[in-house]
Amino acid sequence: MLIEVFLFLVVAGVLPIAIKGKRLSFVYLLLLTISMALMLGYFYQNWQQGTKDNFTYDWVSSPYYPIKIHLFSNFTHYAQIFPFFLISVVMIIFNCFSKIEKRKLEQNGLICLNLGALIMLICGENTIQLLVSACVIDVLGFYIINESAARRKYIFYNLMADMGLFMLFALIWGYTESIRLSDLGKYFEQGEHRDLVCILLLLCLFIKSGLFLFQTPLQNWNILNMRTIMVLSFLSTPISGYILLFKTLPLLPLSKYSEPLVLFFAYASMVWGGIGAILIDNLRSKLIYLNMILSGLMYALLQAGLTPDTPIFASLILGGFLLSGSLLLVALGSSNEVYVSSMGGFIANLKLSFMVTLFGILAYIQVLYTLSQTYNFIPMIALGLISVSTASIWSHIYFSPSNADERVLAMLKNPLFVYWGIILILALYVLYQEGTPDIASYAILSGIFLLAISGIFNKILPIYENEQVQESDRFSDFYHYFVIGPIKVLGRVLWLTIDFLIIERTIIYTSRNTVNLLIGFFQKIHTQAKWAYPFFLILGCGMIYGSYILAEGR
Amino acid sequence: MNTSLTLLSALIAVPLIGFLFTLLAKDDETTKGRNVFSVTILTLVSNLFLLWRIALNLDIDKRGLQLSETYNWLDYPKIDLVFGIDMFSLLIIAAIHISLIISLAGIRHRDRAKKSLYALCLLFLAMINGLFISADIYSFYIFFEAMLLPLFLLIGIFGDIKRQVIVSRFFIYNFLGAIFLFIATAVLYNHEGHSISLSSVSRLDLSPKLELCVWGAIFVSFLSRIPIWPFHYWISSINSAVRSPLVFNVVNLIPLTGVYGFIRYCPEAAPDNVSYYFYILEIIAIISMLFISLIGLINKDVQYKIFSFMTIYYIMYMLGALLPIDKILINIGFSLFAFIIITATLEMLTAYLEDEQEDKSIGAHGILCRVPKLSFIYSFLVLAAVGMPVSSLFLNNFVILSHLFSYNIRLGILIMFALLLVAGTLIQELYIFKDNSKISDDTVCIMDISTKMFSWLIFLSGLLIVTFINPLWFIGG
Repeated sequence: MLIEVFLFLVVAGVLPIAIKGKRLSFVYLLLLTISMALMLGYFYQNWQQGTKDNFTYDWVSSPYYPIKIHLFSNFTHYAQIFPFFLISVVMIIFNCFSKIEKRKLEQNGLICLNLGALIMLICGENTIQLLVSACVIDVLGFYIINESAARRKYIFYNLMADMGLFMLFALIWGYTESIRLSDLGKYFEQGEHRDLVCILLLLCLFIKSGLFLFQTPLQNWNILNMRTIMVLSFLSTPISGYILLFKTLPLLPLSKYSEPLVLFFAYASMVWGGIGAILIDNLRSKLIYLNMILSGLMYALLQAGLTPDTPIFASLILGGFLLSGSLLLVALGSSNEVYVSSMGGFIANLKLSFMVTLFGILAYIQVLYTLSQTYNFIPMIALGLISVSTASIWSHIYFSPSNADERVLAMLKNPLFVYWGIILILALYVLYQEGTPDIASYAILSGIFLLAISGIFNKILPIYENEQVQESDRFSDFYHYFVIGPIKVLGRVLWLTIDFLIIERTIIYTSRNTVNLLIGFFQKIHTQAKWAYPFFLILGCGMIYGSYILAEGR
Repeated sequence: MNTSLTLLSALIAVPLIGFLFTLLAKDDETTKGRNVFSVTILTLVSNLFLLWRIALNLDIDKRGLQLSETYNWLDYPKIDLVFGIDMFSLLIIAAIHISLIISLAGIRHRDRAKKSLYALCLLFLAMINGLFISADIYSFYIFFEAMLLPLFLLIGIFGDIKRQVIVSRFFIYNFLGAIFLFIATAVLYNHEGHSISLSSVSRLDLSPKLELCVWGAIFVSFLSRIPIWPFHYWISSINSAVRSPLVFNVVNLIPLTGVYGFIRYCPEAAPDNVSYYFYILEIIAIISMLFISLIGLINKDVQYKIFSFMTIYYIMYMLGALLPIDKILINIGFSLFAFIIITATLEMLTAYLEDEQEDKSIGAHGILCRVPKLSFIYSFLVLAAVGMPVSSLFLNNFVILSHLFSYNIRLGILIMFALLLVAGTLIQELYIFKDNSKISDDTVCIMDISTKMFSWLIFLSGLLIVTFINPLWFIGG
């Protein structure tokens, strides 16, 4: 079944390249949207019916390096794929109705291809399939971004992560002579440098997911539109990093540093995300920071035992998506206003959006609350951070005195039905999945609301004016000055000293001068015959005598 | 001759015939180089067809050189020209042919003195084919040195700037290598009393002192061809001086001959005594990799960046070839196949970009922004070059590196670091080319490649993808 979906996605994703003309593009866009929705229905039906098949493509049949591509349709894979499939369809619909998106067809094609790659990643049973899928997701992410300033760090960071993973899997294969994930445990018995393997793996995945210290490429996305940020956050590299960690979990016990590393980076990401979501003025940056909290939470929960093949995981992802969706509604309603300090008092015009947002946040709270009953304080930390962040955002957008300019106010209106309708349906779906919300969830929602209307967050407004705070996420500067800078200086020094000074000015010059000297010498002894003849005569005699001595008189 | 089909010798003969035809072809203002171009392309395509025929006759699972052919050359001293081929050599020869076709397409409308350029290119092809099908040390030596003559002339005539300086460097370094290999070959011949097949060189029973001297000479000789410190300088200076993509590609095939020498002379059972050299070589190799990758990162010349990329990969292949595992040879072959095609195409497109920049007097920033066809192909090639899963580089480098890691993890890590730096270098360049932040409506932009060229490059990209999916597609493997 999954192979059918996969092939459909590849074809649907590649076809836009060949489609030209406005009318044909529109028809294809419509067809793509409908067929994706139908495919989602078909997928869901097969999942519920428990359809199974074991599709395997024998890619490399060499006895030394057999590689198979697996696309097994089973419950585990369906459960993992479902939230991403749903989000992909939602984003395709959002793109279709966007007034500002110029590359609708291309973007939707890329989303299809990206989902295909994600399916391959989720179904991967060997390291090569994982690597190929992760690299394809990176490349597609690069094309989805389509903004050079946002691309730069994204591609460098992911390149580093991919090469790190490449090295890691090559290292493992060198010891175990197997690329199968089920044989990763063998490395425990045969492999060396276990700490290196674990630390490298985790660093690569942290880079991919944009966890604390590695969030710079994600922060650079704040110049993109909200839909693109959502696509990237929920379908691209941050998710691939997480899935890769799930796939390579058997490697983590190799090192005693694994658990503290995962926990440190997960908690630090949550806290940093929470701080950023409150203190940063840019709405898109807030969205990215909120998703950073989610990424940190996912990593912490994975360490605690929550795997992505459980229904609650799908709800968690969808909950995070709903929170992002609620910010999207604001952006759409306010003609893509970026700064929350330039908003305020939007409740008067965006009542409907706010009501939908309430449902979305309630669903997210319910998911986190349910998780907290099993995983204790980890989801509670995230819940706390998200609650405060949300209250601050609501306060500035909806309840504080208006700072919006006239243009924004004049254009302020609820977005199209399709946006808020879909978010509402998704919220209701998540609430349906998690059961009737607990009293605690309502209480937390009420708390957020009260905090938002209390005006306490108005004190943050001066911070939004402070450029130093707004530019405080300067980890890129750190890498620039402490990693890239020294490497470049070293390169320049080496070039100057070795290439220029030693080789060019010393070896080449010396050899050239020596040759010139010899040429001059021989020229001289040939032209100034007065002493050349006796010299050659003596030299010849000397050679004859020398060979006589060497031959011992023979 | 052991076989009635003289396919292998035809690989040398066809370019030589092409060379003669090129010399005889009319080349003036009316023909504008069309005749010589057609002859050259026809020669290359004919040879590719021959290669396909050879591939069909090869037994992939059989080890050692196959389809052996022997020609008696001299009776006293007894010297024969012995040819043989395996899948590894075949892949490299095929890649060289394709890379030359790519370069020819790149210089179709740009280079002066076309006749001599094409003629020398075919002469070089004949010689390098001879090298890759040589099956004994004398044949190897002859072609190893013979290819330098057309190369010398190519650089001398078409090495745009500072020609005299780079030709003198070229001569110094290669002359040094030639002397060492000649001494080693002569000593080995004298020791055995007859020429020795390449497969048995490493199994000769030499005295420890002689072994060290002979292998030392062989190592120096091959190293002089590979851009390993301090030998890298002559190739890097040529690369910076040469602007013709054909000459650039031809020059960059020279390190391949050094790597190939190591592969053929040091198979699995290299003498124990020589291990001393291996340690030194590994250290020098890794220093060179880091050194050149760092310089590539800071150097602003795109040609140098491509050179640093090529050098790092060549050294990695060399280190892979020195491992005592013969089965990775075919991985090196598949990887090299894609690598040669990728670099040739990249160089051809880079030369095109530089020409356009010069013509329009514009900078490199955002140069690819308004040329979708060129941008697509260039991006694809850079992604392929950095090891993304779009060509046979990906899987085969995985195998080569995993063996290097198993052999010595520190070495492996440093190689990976150099690969990362050089990949960053290429990505950085691509980013500059695609940076649209300074592009406005009135910015002067370059002309996109023609549809014919685009189709050809799409075909090549498809070929690379095919090598990723199924490397032995052309013989139904």
